[in-house]
Amino acid sequence: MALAKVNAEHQYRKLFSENEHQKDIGRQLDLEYSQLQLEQSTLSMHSKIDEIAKKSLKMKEPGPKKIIMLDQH
Amino acid sequence: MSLFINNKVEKTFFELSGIRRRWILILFLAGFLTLIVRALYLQGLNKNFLQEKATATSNRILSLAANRGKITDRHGNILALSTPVFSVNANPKIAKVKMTKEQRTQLETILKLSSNEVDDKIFNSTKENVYLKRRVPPSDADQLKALKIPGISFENDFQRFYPAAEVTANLVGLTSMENVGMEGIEKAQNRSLSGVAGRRKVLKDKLGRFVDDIDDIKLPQEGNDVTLSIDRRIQYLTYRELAKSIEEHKAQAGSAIVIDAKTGEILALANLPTYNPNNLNAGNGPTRNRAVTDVFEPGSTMKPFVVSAALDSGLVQPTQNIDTSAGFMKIGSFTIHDAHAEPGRLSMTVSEVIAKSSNVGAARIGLMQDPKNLWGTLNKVGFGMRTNVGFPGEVGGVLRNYKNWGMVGQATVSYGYGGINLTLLQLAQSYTVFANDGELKPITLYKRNEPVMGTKVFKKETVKTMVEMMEGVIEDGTGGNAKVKGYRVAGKTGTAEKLMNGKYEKNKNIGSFVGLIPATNPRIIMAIMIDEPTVGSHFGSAVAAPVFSNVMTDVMKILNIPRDDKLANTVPQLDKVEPKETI
Repeated sequence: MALAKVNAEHQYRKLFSENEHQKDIGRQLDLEYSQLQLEQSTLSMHSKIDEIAKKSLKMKEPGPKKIIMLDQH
Repeated sequence: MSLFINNKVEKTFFELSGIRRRWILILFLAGFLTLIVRALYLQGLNKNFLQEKATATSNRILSLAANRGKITDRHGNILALSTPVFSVNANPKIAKVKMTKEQRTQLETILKLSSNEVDDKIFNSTKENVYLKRRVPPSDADQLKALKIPGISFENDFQRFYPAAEVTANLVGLTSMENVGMEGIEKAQNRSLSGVAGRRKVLKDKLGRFVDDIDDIKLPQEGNDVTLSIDRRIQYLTYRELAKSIEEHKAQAGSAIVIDAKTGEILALANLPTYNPNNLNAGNGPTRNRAVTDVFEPGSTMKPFVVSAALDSGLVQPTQNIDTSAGFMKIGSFTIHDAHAEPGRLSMTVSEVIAKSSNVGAARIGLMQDPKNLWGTLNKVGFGMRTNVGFPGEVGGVLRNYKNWGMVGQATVSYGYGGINLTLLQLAQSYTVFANDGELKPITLYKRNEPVMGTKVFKKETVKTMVEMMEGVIEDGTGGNAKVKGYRVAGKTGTAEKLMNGKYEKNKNIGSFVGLIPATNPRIIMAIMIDEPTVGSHFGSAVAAPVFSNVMTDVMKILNIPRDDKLANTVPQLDKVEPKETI
């Protein structure tokens, strides 16, 4: 009986420790997520997209006459 | 001793000695007494202390830090975010003795500390615990942890990052080392953003792994996110163009606000000079949000309200001629001048008073009105009162009571001088009346999910007439530089001499511009003010109006706002258009 109790306690502690470890991994992933959010935010700055579109992709803004707008009403 | 006993034993072996028995008894008793006293000492008197010591080695109380909420723009783009970092602490008493030379060099390289700093913090310190370095990135902390330097410990911490840096600095604000909001939105929303830290008590095994919870866990309450009404793209454009104008005219400072005319949401609020909130070492820098905390005399941007008040009460008609006396007007010893007077021209229509920004004309129209009514109108559009956007340090400016105006006061207020000053924020808000059929919409820095009620100030027809007049400002008046291709623009320029120590400084001006676009049904209002331009012209038409044009050209595209002038190219339905080129 006493040995069973000791064994159960040991098993419990092992699982608890494992659970803690997994939570740590979770925290690590949270951290990574926040860093990726920051990175995404920096990379998606309007200025950056504007520059890449104009310089690397050689895109041009259409002139006023080339734009046809649809009447929403 | 043993010799002595042996001798004695041999000598007195057969003697019955009560003394000997008593001695042994006393010895045993003494022994037991010692044990009892010791037990009493440990379990009774010193119990608490010892139990504390024991639990201290196996129990740990963990503080569960609450993550500070994000600040995002209206589309969820991050403007401020906390990421976990570490504080590296040292116990100088241990580190002094146990740290090896090699460990010390590694510590210095990883933390980028100089040898002197380490000397100061560890070797010359008498404290129990010192911060070696705060806000250490997790990667560096992991390297350091692997070294297992004695006396060095780590504490979880958060660092705030601002991806938009300078662009939103004066608006979003910053936090202190302790993660308390010090400026801007961070300060205004500190309580909501902060959250409450939780705690848990755990049992450790000898390897330092957590094996059990001892007490109930108190979960941390995470901080709430704050969503601003700002649109990051528009904010950036506004900032860029404002910076360009300030640079070009070597001005001291400047502010610009873009608001959604229908909802009152602030889409952009930029200020210069600014600072980088990610780099606290550089000192606190110019943290002031001038658009909210600094007042100026508005000058001509006031005129539309004075003229609208007169139109509203039927005192004047748009085509009516107003005596402008060739740009001079005397009230007692006080003279009013027109900055853009045409020589020999004695009168102007009401529309021209607005388009050409005549001070004399505005003063005359102002003087026609009952001071109480005029004051009432200006008060209703929010002058002399805070907008209550919820920004720390906001001021409400001054609108002097009409009872203290007198003739001169009433005349000067009519063109935005003397007895009136306001923030750029108030000015931008006041122009919402011209975009909402005469209703003033309260502005906000936070995203609105429902339409907001306004306060009726002018009649619908009055506003329609006034917007047409303000289109005249752009078409053939002082605001030509504010034109935006494809759109009709209504607006008003303003130039005011700065009032310093009770005197107007001729060479120190504030150039401003407020514009509405598209004029047929205004969607966006933008207000700009440039403080003390020194190179080139100092007029609002030259320093502030071009900012409007440059920013709005892009904003119209970003927000997909249909064109409303001759370049409109608007077609009713898609299937009626033959696509000529494929894109």
